[in-house]
Amino acid sequence: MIDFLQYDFMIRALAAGIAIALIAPMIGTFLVMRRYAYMADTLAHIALVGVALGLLLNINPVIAAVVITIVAALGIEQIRQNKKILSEAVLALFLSGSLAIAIVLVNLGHGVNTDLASFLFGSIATVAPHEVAIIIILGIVALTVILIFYKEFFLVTFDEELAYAEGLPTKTFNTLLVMLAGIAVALAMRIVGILLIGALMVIPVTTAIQFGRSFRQTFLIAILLSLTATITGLVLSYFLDLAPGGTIVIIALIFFIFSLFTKR
Amino acid sequence: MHTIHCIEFNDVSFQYLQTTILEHLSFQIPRGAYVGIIGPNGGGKTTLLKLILGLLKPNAGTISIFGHDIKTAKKHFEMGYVPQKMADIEKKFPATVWEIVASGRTARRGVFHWQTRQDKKIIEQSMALTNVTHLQKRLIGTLSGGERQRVFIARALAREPKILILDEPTIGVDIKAQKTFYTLLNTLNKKFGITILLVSHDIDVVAEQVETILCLNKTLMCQLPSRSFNKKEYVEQFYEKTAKPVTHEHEALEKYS
Repeated sequence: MIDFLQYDFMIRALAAGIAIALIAPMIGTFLVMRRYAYMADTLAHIALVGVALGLLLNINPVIAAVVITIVAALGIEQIRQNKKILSEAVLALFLSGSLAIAIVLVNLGHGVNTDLASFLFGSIATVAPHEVAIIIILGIVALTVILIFYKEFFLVTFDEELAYAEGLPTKTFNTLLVMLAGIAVALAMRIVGILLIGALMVIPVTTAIQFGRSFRQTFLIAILLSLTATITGLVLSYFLDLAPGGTIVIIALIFFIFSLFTKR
Repeated sequence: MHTIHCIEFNDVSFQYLQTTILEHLSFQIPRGAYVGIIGPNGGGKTTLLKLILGLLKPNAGTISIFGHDIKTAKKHFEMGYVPQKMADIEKKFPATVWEIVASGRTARRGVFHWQTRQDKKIIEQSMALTNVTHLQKRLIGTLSGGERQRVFIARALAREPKILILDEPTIGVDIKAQKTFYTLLNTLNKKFGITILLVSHDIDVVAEQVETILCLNKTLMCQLPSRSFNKKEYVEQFYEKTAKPVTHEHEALEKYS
């Protein structure tokens, strides 16, 4: 039954998957509670620009996506803080704008379409060892930052104005959060695919809210659900020859549907 | 000798875009005062609180807190703030009363500081003082308006404030809970010497509860002891002569009847 562990690509996929399953719902909890759930989807489309650029210029697409996503995340936060444009509109602008750029870049680089598909839908078989290393190292960095600043992220999520009035550097923490979201998105695209990253950051959190009896508990349940969905999804996709990203998200959705019939 | 006031405004003006919200505002609030800020809608009450809290910066004039300029005052003197919108907090926000009250310590503790025994003690004391200890495991969204308001006072107290600032704190709170609430504010002011600034539309209650009334309509219209406050004159000055003062009591009664 566990013969799949003899394959290096499965071990790599599980290692990367666990790292992503840990950090995605952590960041997702703060994003969802701030009604910023679409941030993940926007960043995913921006990551696509990084991937296309990486493939076109022959740079590692994961690294290119991390850099581009962080820069764009900072831009989104800067525009949002200026308060001249509605937050939702900022996200929509970046989402459609980055998709347009990505399409043009893909069109410029004839022949990158095949590689791009693995990023769009996720492909565990093509995760290279050095990419797993990047995912795990950046994953540990993101995890450490979230745990160190948990209480600050909580306060900014609860009420940004109140946090500022009490002397918290809210701008710094907002920027840090969107940067972490950018990193998580860029790292997750290899496993679940760009089109489904948002789901991994949002669905386990939405499910956890139905059960959680405190913010901390919601946070932990979301991680547990995300880990379960990711590991089960990867294993099932191996045995049933299914697309891993889709399988993971469908399992997460099943948990969510179950939660609707369960009272807190 | 120059007296150091708790809050001092010196010819403060504030504009937003082309609109003047406050102009040439000068007043002092002594330590331990219990002040009610009243005025018509758009008179600048909430703006005044936000200037004190440092959420807005004045276009002209200076603001001092305990003799320190507002820009540095926050580092020395802690203020507890209960914003108006706390009444409409997202019901699905999955935080317990304990977590909300404990978040009052976050900025005070500073980055890289874990919760200490002393923090826990202060959080427990704040909850005991506001009578919310029995609610500590409840989710904030499941509480009544009155209970929620006491939780936010507890949260503000967890900051060990010298000044407590409340913006329309009794909106959505029933009459019985309002009485308990004002008794609590009175205790905090008299027993613990906390300076209280309270913004409210409910002039009847404000006049009854506070010691000093500060009337605001773009600038300071009056600052007088509440016993000298004449509601009829106030209403005639800011509203139509035939108008009657409207309290929030009827809303609360409708909501909870």
